[in-house]
Amino acid sequence: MKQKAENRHIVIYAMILGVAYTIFGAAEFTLGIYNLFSPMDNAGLVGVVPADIFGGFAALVVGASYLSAISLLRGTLESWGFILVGMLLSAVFGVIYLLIVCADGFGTLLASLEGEAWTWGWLTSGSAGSGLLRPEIWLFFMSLPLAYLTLRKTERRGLKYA
Amino acid sequence: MAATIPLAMLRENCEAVIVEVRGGMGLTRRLTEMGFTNGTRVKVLHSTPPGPILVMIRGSRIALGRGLAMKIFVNPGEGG
Amino acid sequence: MEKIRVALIGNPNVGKSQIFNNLTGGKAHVGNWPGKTVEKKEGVCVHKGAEMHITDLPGTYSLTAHSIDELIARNYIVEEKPDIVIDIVDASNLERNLYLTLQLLELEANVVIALNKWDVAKDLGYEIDAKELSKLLGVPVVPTIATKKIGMEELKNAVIEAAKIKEKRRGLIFSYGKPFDDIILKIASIVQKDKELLSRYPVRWLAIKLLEADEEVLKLIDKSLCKEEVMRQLSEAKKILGEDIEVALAERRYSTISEALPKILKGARPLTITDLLDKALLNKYIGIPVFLAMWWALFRFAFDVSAPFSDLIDMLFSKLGEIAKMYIGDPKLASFIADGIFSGLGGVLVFLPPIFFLFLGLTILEDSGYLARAAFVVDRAMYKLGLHGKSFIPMLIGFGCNVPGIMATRTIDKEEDRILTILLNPLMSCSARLPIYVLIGSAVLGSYAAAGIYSMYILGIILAILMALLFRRVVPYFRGKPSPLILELPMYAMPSIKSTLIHMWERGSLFLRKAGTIIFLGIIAVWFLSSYPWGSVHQGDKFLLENSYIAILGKYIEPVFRPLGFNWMCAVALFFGFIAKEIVVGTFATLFGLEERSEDLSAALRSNGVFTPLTGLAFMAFSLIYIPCIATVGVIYRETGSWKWTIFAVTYGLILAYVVALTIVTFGRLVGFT
Repeated sequence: MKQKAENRHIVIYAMILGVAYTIFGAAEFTLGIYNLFSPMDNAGLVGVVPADIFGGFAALVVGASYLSAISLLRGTLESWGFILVGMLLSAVFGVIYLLIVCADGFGTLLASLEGEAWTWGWLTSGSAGSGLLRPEIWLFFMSLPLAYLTLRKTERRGLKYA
Repeated sequence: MAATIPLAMLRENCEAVIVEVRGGMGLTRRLTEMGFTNGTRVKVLHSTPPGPILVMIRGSRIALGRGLAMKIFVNPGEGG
Repeated sequence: MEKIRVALIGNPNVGKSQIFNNLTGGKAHVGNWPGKTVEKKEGVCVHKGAEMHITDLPGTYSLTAHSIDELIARNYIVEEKPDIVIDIVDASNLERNLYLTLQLLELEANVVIALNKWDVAKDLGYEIDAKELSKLLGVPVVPTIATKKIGMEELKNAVIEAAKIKEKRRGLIFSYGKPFDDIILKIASIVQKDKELLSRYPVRWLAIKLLEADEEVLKLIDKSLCKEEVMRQLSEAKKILGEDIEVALAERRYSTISEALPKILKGARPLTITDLLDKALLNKYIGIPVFLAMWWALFRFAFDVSAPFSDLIDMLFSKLGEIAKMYIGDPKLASFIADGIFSGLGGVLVFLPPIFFLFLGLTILEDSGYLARAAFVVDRAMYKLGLHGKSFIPMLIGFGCNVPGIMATRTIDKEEDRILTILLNPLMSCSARLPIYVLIGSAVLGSYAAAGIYSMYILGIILAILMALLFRRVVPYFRGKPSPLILELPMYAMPSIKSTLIHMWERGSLFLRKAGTIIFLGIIAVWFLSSYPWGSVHQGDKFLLENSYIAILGKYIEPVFRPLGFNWMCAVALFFGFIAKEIVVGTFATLFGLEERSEDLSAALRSNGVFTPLTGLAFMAFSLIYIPCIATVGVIYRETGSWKWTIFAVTYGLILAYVVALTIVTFGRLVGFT
């Protein structure tokens, strides 16, 4: 049935995102722990994956939620909830990291008013680890199509927004 | 006499009808205020022991501590 | 202009504050109910030549005498006799909401029902006959959608219309069944012999309450002439009706509702997004991790996004200070204005951004409905620790600031659970302590600074757990288990921007008023004590802090702290930390004559040998645990209402802090650190 096939596509999409979040989450978490005991100077892998214990943990949670969506294939309707929660968390962190990058930018602006030189460094490093290169931000954008597909599905099924 | 079990032992997605609330005075009263009266239908939405239990009763979702749910006796036979 | 006194009442989560804001335009006067710690909100609404004075009553499920919130609501209606009571009923949850409505009608209040969340009810597939409901209850029913401001005009019109009806409704609304009805009549007829009671209270309601053994009403009867006769009737009634009269009456009310319901409500409830989300959010494996992730997101949001705003405020006040020093001739006045006032104001306002962002995040979490789920998933863990599931929100808030955290314990019903939560709250490392950790961490912990800071938060949590277990076992007052969880989980909803911002503003400004003034005054005190005696401190171009009053004070206290490796500067900083933890950093800055936020301060601490890595860590731990800041102590006193508990909170903190710091230092020395 078209519906079953569509479902399967959505689930695969969620799985891929789930795996991605899990990998990055594990990486951030491990780097974070390592950094704690033998601090590195330029904490981070390739300047993209920051060393972040709690951030890594959070990414793992998103991954877990997306991966749990596999139970959808078994037919339980409520499993859509896992995708929704995964999307929600991915949006929460994606947006927050973006806001932090903006805050860093604002901070650099303030510093430049005080006399320090203006740099663009805040775009790729700062309070959010690797700035705009932070995996969670990209994965959030990649979750948006999934969001669109899922919400369209739930509307069609007559699920009420309540 | 129909078989009655504590609400805490009702499985997820099962419905039942309340037969008796056996709490102390204070607890029974509070539960009654929230709608847990004899003859009322409840449906278990979430139940993962030993955590609290979530039921649908009179159209709203109420979470109950497990100990409390052990004191509410229901008849699953009359459930949906 | 005609003045109409209106009270707003309803179950929790029905949208009462939304309607209050819609009617009053968001402008509220917030205070306290006299003699109580519960918040009282009042506002004004002008409509068609009438001036409505609106009082927001606490949200409750019932009007018994068993909880402060219910008593306040009930007493307001019975004693103050508002012209109109707007009962806000959640249309998507009709059955249980009507329980409160029936009690309002028994109180003979002049009720207008706002049938709110009409849109949600429709989405759920419900069909509600508002006209039939109005007929059955004998009161006007106005369908409303508060979030979209629909039905507000009709509501205001209904209030004005209803206010014109002066005669009270009396008599039977519904039957409790023959045996009950007869006895209620009998008791009522006895009570109305007391002319005073008759004039002040609805007699039938008094009779019902007496049957329920309502403490407050029993007190009323105590002073009455008819007391003996009443008591006689009551013991007769017990023989006929049994012991559990209160429960029986409650059940009768619900039966009445159930019987009438099919005439009013039709429709079924399909699967909703709430069900879907709950499937994941309450899942036994990922429920708690999701909560922890949300918690982390909240803190990232509150601290990192607000950081530049804090910097901005800091910059602003430093600039003002510089300008003051440039243009004011008299050095004493210049110093007072720059280092005292501006520094003081700056010191308070600089941590306002994180507080507001924190409240914003919390409000979104609460209004969306998620916070109740979080209470659900942590309940099990909390119960094992001897805490109530509802204890966790105050703890969570405590990480931002202990003052609102402790105020948030009001939702906990059982007093023992509440006081325990209050006592443990100061162990949640509030945002004011963070600058201390950052300063000392960067001064002496080098690259392990981050680890050191994390460990303070974890230490706080571990200590809270230990103290919870300890108090439950050792302190007689706390013996016994926490009360079980009964919590309604509302449907998820997208919080409206306006009401979220209003909530955030209310909480934030409350904090500002309470804590802000104290901290400001504290900073001025520090300035004074560190600048005087003027002559000895300001010798020529030099700033000799060692000669100031503050130094004298510090050297006096020093011996107490020497075993911990703290010198007189630390002693002084800690002393002022009592006023506000933020001042600890400020004190060190003043002591070295430097700016607070500069790296130079860290360097100064290091080079002057004030701290070693070991003593630095001990100091961080000490400042985490010792006494709560004065604003917190004030709130503890207000919320517990007893000196005993307040002193206990302060003392155990001091003792625990000393013990922990000493342990760190001793253990460290044994292992080989300096």
